[in-house]
Amino acid sequence: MGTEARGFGSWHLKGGRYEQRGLPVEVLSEFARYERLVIDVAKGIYKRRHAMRQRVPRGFTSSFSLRLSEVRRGSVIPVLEVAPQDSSTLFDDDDSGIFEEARLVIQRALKSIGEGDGIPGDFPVNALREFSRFGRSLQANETIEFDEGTPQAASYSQSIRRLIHEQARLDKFEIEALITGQVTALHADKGTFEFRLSRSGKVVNGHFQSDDVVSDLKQYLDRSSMAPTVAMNAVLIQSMDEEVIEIQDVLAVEPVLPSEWSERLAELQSLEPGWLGGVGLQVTRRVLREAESLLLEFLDEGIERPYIYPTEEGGVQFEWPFSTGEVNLHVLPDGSVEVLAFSKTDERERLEKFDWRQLHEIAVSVLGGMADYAG
Amino acid sequence: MQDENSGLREGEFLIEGGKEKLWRQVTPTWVHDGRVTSQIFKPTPKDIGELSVTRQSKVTPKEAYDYYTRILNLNSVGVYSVDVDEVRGEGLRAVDDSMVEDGETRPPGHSFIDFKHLTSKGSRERRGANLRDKAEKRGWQYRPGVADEQ
Repeated sequence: MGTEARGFGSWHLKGGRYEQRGLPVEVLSEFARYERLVIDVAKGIYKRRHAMRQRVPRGFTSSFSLRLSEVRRGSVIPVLEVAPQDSSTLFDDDDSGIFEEARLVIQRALKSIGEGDGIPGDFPVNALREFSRFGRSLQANETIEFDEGTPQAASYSQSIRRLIHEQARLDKFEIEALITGQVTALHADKGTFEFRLSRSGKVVNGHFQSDDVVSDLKQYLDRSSMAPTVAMNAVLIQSMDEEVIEIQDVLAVEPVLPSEWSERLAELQSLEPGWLGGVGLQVTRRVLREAESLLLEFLDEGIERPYIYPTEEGGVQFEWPFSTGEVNLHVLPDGSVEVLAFSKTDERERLEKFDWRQLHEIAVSVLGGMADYAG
Repeated sequence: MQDENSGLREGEFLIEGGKEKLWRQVTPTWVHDGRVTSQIFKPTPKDIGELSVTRQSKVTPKEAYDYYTRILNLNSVGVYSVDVDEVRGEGLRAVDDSMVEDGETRPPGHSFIDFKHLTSKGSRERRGANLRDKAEKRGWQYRPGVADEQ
């Protein structure tokens, strides 16, 4: 019986979030997935070795347990150990190191895929599903280096993970990602909701495991013309061409715009007809959604928040006033946008017209005006 | 700059005193984070190039506010002002039309800042922004519940 914990390979997390001190707590679940993957691979090895057995021995799964015993600096080096277990009666000599074997099988598979040789033929088929789940929280610029500097070294990244999916002929891809969109339906009793994706406008079905997210989803729920755009950190099912098929679980939801921005839009939404000296049209939900999309773009581009006002014709005007000039943006009710940058000291002015969907071009125009008059 | 008296209707006349203030009511939603939009000094389509104001020599800002909110039953959060010289400085003219007899009821001391000759969007917005900046520097002339802003 082992009485002391022993090391289980070495990990080195690099890039992205791992370049800062400490281990992001959201990746802790990755260790649990790795543990399940090791167990599944070990089961596959065991069954191949004992072809006459239908099942692995009772207690096989519980005989293996990983512990995160330390997190070292540079970038992030988590230290994994196998918790001591009494497995002497479970395995004969051939199988006593089966979890260590599984660890090396996983690394050989990663190395083979990374070198373009695909998933090795001896990789247990039963573990492919868990293999595809492992690493779902990795971001594009992040890698896990296993046993760095040794002959067993292997590297894992989102691109290798995608190859696993392709080669395992899995038509769906599970990934943790941030998506933006609107909550347009909620069935709290069934644990489901509908989400309209900002990028494509497509409505996808969603599920949630924890009741804790119900109040958040409810808070942002409305028809698509009304619901605020939210950022959702979620477990997604994507097709191989990265189209979101379904939301499998919700990890967190928060509004995309800072509250003072969205609250101002909500004020404009509540205007009654005649708000301006007896005239003044209501600002429609559609115009407000267009204004919101523009503000989201400005947020992404680092453009400071404008002053936001309704216009008599039912539009929205953004203003960036400076001492020598001003940049005004007018979202018109017909879906067009005008950006006017003008000098306050001479006759210089520049008026550009856009469709509201030309978000990037509009942001460039605003930035150009700001460059002329800010500071 | 417009010709001094061109296009004035019967009963309309230019306001002469350069330091006389002209009161402008501020619509509540046209204040965001304490800043008033430049639209406040730019005629909207309903104004047909004539931006309504009232004269300091005829009414106090409080009287102007009370008439606007109680008699006309319209919303205002307070009164901003520019003076006649500031209007002229933007190439505009201040016109008193309170004596015009066309059957329309006008508030006491009603006048307008004439933007009719300006055709480009930029030229109207520039002047609106400049007048707003000047009014902003002067501060609120009257706000209900705030005693000594005049």
